[in-house]
Amino acid sequence: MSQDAPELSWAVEMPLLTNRFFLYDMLKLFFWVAVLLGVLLTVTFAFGGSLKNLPPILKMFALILGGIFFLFVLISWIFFGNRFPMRFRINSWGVGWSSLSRRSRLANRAAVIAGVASGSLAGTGAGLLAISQESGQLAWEKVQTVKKYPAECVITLMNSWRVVIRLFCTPENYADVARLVDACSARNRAGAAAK
Amino acid sequence: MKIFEFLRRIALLLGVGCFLWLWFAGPPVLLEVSRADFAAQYERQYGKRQYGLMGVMELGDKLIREQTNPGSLEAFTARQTQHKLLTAGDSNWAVFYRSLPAQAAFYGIDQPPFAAIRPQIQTLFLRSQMAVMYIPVVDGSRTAHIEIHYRNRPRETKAPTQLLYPYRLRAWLWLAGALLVYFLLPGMRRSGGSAAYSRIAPLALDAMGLLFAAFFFGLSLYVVNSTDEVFGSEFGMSLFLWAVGCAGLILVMWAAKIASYRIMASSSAICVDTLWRRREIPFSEMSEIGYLVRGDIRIGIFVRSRDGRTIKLDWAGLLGFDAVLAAINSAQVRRAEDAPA
Repeated sequence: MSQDAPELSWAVEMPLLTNRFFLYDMLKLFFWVAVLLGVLLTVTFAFGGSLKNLPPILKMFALILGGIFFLFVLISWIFFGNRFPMRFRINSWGVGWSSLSRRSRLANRAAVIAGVASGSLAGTGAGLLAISQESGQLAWEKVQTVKKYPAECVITLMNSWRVVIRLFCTPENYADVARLVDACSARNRAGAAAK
Repeated sequence: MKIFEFLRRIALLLGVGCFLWLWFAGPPVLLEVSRADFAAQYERQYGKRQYGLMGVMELGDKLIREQTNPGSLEAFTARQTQHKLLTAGDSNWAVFYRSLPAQAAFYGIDQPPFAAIRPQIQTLFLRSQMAVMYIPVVDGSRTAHIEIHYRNRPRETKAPTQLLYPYRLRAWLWLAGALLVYFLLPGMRRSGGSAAYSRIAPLALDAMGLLFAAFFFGLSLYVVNSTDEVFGSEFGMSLFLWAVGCAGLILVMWAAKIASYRIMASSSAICVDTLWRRREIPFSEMSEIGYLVRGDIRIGIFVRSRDGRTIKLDWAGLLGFDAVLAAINSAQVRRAEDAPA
């Protein structure tokens, strides 16, 4: 592939529990959920004037969060078999990605059906949210930072405040993908500077 | 070196297991000992009482008191201690009685001076299921009683921690030893030209596996009244919790497997190191190589040797796999059709 190639598309199996990026993102998620829950509960109890009842509640939430973490690991390991197939596409407009995991799609739709059948708005909402996350795209103009990890064959694309997508490449196409990402983001920066 | 990856994890699991066991281990029975005060009990039950508002309950209580002949304090004491007396011939019990503090004190059943009358205490408890017993002692001119409460749920008492969990100091030694072995035993390192997992992956799996295994093993020790019950009346529940905790053990063993996994490429051969064995295929013996596919996704390569052996090399999560690919490409081995993983 040459540097001016307009598009590159590939499919890859992203490792889960043996992938430091997945582990980092998972820990970050649980950390912020714990912090948010802790702050919300503390403020609620403080306004209710019953702060002394807070520690057992926090302990219970910590146990629930621990249980969810345990399930999260088990699902990644046993249900997904420690891999998550994805397809990525890069062109001059931006980056697109979609999940190729049949199990994930099945689980998301099952969550919606179970939610509707049981009359649970939370279950239905969670399923619909998961379905909406099965694919996505990011225009180059929204990419602020590109971080490359050649040893892991991963390229991280960030907007102004967070990681939006990590491009998992194969050992064979990493160099091509990195070149195309560099070219597209440089072209976009140059275009933005010209404006 | 590879075996260290296994041994250090076994040491870690054993050390943490021993730490948890000793942390929660404690005596199945404690004795809560105090001076029996029958006079105060007598007064509480039969003495004159100043009632506030006279409701139905208070009127009934007053009537019962008026109708009951309480008898003497001696008769009351005899009634209270009937079938609950322990015979202790030793005169040292009087000294012990006088040394008792005003509040109740806790003793282990194997602790002196109770160790000498342990069979009596246990027989009396098993025979009568009464948790209160008395030892009569001669205190000067009168007969006093040592009151003993047989506590077979020690964790629910207010006994001091040193008595409830006497091995906690020793437990730390096991944990420190396990961590020392885990961190000091040399691990496998990735050399240039080889493909291996990032060091973070096995470390994270170790942490998660240890957390899960320790939590469920610890939970089985936490919910019982004493560690004796783990292999006794609560064995079924313990077994269930350990089975769930086994997920953690498997994670740790998986970590050992991936920590010792290496694919090394030299100018003449490919060598695959796993936890238990090493396979080497010289390029001259390779008959063909091709991609491993799952669905339509390439997930690695396979190498087939002239004697029919096939080595599958999954590249997901491996660092430095490009060096292995470069070595294989330079060897100009015949390309085969893609093969399912």
